[in-house]
Amino acid sequence: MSPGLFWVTVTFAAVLSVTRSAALESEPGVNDAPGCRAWRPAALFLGKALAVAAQLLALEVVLALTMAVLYRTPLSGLALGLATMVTATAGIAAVGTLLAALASSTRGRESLVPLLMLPVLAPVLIGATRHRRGARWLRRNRGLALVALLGVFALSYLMLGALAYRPLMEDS
Amino acid sequence: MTTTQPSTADRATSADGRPATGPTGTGSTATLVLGVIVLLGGALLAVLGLALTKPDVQLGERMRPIYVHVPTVSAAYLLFVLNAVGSAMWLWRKSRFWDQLAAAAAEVGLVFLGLTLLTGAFWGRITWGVYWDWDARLTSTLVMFLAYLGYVALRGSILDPTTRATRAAVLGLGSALLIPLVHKSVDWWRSYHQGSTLFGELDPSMGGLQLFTLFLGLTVGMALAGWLLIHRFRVGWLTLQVEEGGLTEAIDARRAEAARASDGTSVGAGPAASVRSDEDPS
Repeated sequence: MSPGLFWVTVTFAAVLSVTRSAALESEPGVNDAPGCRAWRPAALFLGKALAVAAQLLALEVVLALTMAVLYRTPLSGLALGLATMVTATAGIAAVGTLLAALASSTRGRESLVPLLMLPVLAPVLIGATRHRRGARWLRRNRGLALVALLGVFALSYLMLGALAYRPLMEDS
Repeated sequence: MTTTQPSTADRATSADGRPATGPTGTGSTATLVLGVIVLLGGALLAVLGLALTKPDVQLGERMRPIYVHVPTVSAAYLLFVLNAVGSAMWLWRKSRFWDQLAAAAAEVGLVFLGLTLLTGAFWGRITWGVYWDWDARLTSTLVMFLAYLGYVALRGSILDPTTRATRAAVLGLGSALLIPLVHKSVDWWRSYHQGSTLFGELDPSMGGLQLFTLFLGLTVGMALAGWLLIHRFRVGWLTLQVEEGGLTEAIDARRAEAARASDGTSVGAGPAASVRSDEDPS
């Protein structure tokens, strides 16, 4: 149960974090500020995703230690756990940053962001909570296979976000 | 000073301002013919699927939902791929046609995916004994349904057509990444759900009248999807014309008012003058 609680907490924190991040950016003139104009949109997207990922990773460290104490969760397989945390967090941050940008300045964005984020993140959350059980198609290195799947997911959304951020900024 | 007044004929322009032409109604003779074909094909499918085809050697009569279930999910996949194509083309060409096509494909695809979940639930009840289970294929299909529901919700929450089209296009491309995940979920994870019906390795495989009926179901399903897509596209196009036409007319009215004011002829004419005359007690 503890991996599920862990990732649900991280997901809700991510929803709050990216909604706040997008709300700040949607203020008039923010994207035209000299500090922002110097950067390419792809770099802005990656920077925002990195900032969200850093916040989430900090939360995850505190959360993991707390859960290890409260729920007596064994910390075995630390390397695999860390790899899962990093790849899943990268995916959550990429998806969240992109989708929050899509929903910024819309009617009911507070409801829209979780509606958009949760279905897309469902494979990440399932993969992250089950990284020890693994997938059927690579039995030998099943944990690593799921980490690889999480990595592909994160990379796909990071690329999509980096490519899409320019038209999003131009048309907003 | 003269200004170029945009006419209402320029409604539904592309994002770069080029005028676009399009349908003026929601149907045509071709869609009428297609609708009749769908109705006749549906009737034939019902007769073949419910009466003339033999029961399955393992599932017996319980296999008959396959003639509806497989066509609906196939049409949904195709429509979501069309949505991704329309989304990519909007980002590339900025043509309203592609944006409206993507929007219509997503909405009709959502209907077909909903039907897939519904027929799947009933089929699950008669074969597995439950309407729903958190199985890999079922869960991933539900996730995809919710993702495209989010797409439709996003479109509904943005008023500006260009912003709406761009943001929806990005989301459409992102949601399309779920299609291979859903399709391969039965291979990647343990699942109650069977593998691919048509191009998989089912044992026993389908043949004869059963296979013909399944292909008929696919044809009817695709034709129905096409019929709905065309009508939804036309409704969306006409709605866009009204939206942009209304804006153009408002700008026209404002410019005419400004021109009258600058020429000194505004006294006694237009809404602004009416307000002033109302305020004047004399």
